[in-house]
Amino acid sequence: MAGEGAGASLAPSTGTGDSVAERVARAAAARPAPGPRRWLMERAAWAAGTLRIAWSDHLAKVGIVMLVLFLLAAGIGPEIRTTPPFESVTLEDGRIAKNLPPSRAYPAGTNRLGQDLLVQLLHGARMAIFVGLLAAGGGAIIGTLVGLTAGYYGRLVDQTLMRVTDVALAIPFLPFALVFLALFGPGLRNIVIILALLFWRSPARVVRSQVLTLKERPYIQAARAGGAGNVRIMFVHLLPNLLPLIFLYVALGIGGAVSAEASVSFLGFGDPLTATWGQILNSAFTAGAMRTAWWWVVFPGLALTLFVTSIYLVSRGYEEAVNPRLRRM
Amino acid sequence: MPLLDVRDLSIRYATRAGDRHAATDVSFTLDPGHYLGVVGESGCGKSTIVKALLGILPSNGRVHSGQVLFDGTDLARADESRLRQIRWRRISLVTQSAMNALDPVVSIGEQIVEAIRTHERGAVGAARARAEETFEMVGLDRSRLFDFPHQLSGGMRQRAMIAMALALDPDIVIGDEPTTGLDVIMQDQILHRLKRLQAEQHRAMMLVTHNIAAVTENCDRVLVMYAGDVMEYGATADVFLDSFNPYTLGLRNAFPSIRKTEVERSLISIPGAPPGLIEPGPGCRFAARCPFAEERCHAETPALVQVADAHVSRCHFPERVAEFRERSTLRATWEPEGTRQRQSWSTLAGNDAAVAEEHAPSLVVERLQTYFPVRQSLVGSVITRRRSHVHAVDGVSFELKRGRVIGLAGESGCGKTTTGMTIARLYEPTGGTIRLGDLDVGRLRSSGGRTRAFRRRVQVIFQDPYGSLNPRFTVEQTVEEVLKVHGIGNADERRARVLHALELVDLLPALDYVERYPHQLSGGQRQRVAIARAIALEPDFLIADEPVSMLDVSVQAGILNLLRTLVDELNIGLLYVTHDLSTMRHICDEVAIMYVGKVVEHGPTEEVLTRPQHPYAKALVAAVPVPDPRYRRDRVALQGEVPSAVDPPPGCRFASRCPQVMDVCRRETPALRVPPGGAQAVACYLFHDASEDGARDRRAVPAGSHA
Repeated sequence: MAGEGAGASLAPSTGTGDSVAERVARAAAARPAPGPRRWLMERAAWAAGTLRIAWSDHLAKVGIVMLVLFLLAAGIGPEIRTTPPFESVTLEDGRIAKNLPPSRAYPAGTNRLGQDLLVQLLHGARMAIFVGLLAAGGGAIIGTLVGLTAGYYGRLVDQTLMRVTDVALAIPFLPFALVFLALFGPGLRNIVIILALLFWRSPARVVRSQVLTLKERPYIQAARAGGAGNVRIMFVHLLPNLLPLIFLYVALGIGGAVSAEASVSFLGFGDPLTATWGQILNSAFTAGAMRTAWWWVVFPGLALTLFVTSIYLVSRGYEEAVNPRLRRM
Repeated sequence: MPLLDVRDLSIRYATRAGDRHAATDVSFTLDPGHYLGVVGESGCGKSTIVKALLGILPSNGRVHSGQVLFDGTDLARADESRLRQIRWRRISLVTQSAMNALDPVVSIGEQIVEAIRTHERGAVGAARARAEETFEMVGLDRSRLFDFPHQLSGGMRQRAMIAMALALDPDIVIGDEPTTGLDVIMQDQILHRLKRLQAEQHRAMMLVTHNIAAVTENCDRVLVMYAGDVMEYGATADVFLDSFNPYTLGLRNAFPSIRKTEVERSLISIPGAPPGLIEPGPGCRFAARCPFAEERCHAETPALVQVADAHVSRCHFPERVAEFRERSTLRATWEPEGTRQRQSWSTLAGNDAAVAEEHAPSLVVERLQTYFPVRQSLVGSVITRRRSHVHAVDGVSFELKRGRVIGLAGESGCGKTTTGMTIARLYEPTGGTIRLGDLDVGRLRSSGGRTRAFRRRVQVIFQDPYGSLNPRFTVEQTVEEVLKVHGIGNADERRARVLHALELVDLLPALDYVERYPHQLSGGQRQRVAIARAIALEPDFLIADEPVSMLDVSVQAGILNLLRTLVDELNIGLLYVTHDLSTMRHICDEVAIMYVGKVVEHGPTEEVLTRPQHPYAKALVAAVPVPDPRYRRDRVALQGEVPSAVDPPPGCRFASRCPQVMDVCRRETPALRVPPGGAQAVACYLFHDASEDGARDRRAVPAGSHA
């Protein structure tokens, strides 16, 4: 297994009496093999470390608690309160329970069609997380690929991609969303697509600038000197060093995506058969109940505000945790 | 009465992990007209002391106990307004990077005038006259007084910084690594300048540095610090010639010297790394690394003991000094058990190594050129069609054989690193050839099978061990990565090979290191991992770019010895690129000295470093400080600055600064030739006639460009 260089053999020979090679072989065998389990454990340790740093910040603590509550509400809420979100509930006397203010039976009240608003809010939480993750995640993937390619290859590739990004940055959100939805049909899926299409711009720029500094680092030079090709350098060496930054953008993007989705839905371009917070607000508006049924407006509005705030607070704590100056202390 | 009297000064930094004891019971005095050197490895508390003297400790640092008595005031407890009166006016500071200390948008003259007027309400005219005076003191032309910092070179900025420090005629000037990061010649000039100012003006000065040679040459007294403790303190000659402390003995062993007498002993590193200093326990701080440590050393903190007249040492066993001095010069005393195990590897590797090595191809570099285009404005590119180029490497030739070490030396910007990186094909050569056997390295494309085969045979070690390892890779992943890239072996074979490579670089036991991340390793260990990565592919050649320049003295020696061992045992050819001529003495077979893109002298190490011929090589060698208090070296004063490498004019590059310049030097470019009876090749017309250079060597001189 010696190289063709016929040089000094670096590879341990397997001859008998070769105590050193044996020692290495034994050592190699004794060591636990790296596997997915070790990888998972390392990730978990890292996550715990990050969480510990974030936890030391009081505002982040508030954010984490709020976010956990939202996750619980979205995860198990609809399993506990199993009424379908668009079913009219009836009172004991058989009448439809419409326009009820908050009460013990309906903590968030009911709307004009007698639908249980708490159920809709819980489903809304689910949709919010779903929309946020898909839109921000999708956007971040596009942005990362664009930024990584532009930053790594530089020159013409960089120029072209960054001009495209500049043009994309100039697109205003609402008019673009309205035109797009008018052309391709309203609905949640198209809203998510729009959000991803508009969200990639800022991660692309930030990832690019980070790549510009990272690619000059000696270890990237060292990888190249070792013989690694472009794709390997981009995805094995650069990408892992970008991940904290990308996660930060995904986190911030979730908040943005949820409120953007709400505004588009509120304007009536959402899916009327999916309970999202924006959709609830929209139905309150079309029913003319904005001024009369306060609970119909306040609860979805509050849910939106708190969700976006909690995402922001957590991102802020996370940013502190990934800031290299504050790490490993 | 001493000017400055530091008594039992202890400084602590509050950190999340607990208090870091950055300095413990430090005492020293500074008399008027004395020059005190403070030496030690990084993190030993040198800079902390300086900051405490000026009352500029960072916000988490505080003086825990002790006094800093200056002119009847305890500076450790003085309030801010009192400190402001003393800072700069009575005690001034010259720091490492003048670029950061000078305001880029205010001219230097204005900055000095402003500093003067802040402290002395006087007329602008008087302040300006004083500024001009200080400018001349430091050897700067007074016409440059109102230049902005970016208009001055690094060395000039550093001198401007000294001028500023002298502007208020302070009682004490402190230099905190004032020349670190500067080139050898500039460093020498600045240290010389400081020394002259100190001697002529009878000023008290402090030189804080890791460079032992700079202290031995300049200072009267020296304070050796380790891990926040004073280890030894006394007159310079006493401390370095009649050392009492094992740590000082270790530092002396590890510090490279360009002089032969000093070189006859080989470099010996101090094993281990300095302790962490967070809530340290009792015991001598150096005990963990000390070869003479006994139980008592770990249990009981030694006191500073008077060992001779005005000479103290922190050690339990001053009476055993004769034995220490004798044993400390032996390698076996210092090197830990693990290191010697490696010998079995060398015999093992030697078995099939010696076969057919005579015919192994060498790396042949001929007339190599690397030019970089200069960025031009749009208007500029329209007006002149020709683009300007930086001629970073301009016609460098040499042959690197396996089992040999060629050192490439020169000041920063001379093209030595570019040469190395071009040969490693990290840069594109502009002209000339690089050959490895029948492989034309210069023509390889940036990727592809042939390039990969080449990379397998020529590997690179980078300067910065903190940056050259991917922070998200474990040691094993780092070393295995190169094997994966080249598709070598299966997982088990690769693992064995990784462990083997780690053992070769003395990371023992290798299993303890594989799982670690770079931030869990010391600088020296990181550089060893980088070397392990480079040799894992069994390369024929290594290119090492300043591999020890960022490491502490105590660690440098170990890395240099390791590289030399690998060269000898694995029969690798090494191109060692450095600005530090002292280290070359210990590792190189041949030395080539570069100046602005060209090799001016090339020959056996011994010849080039002891009998340099080329005027530039002479100046460079003469500028290297020697860590021997008995030795007085002759300085060669060089005028002017290094010329720009952008489209250089014809003729010898050194002509503008050469003390022996002739007419022909400005017209023709001298070729590198071995003069009759000489041992080394020299590119200088003092040694051969221009007519001897073949037409091939002469560069076309455009008409009308003669000066």
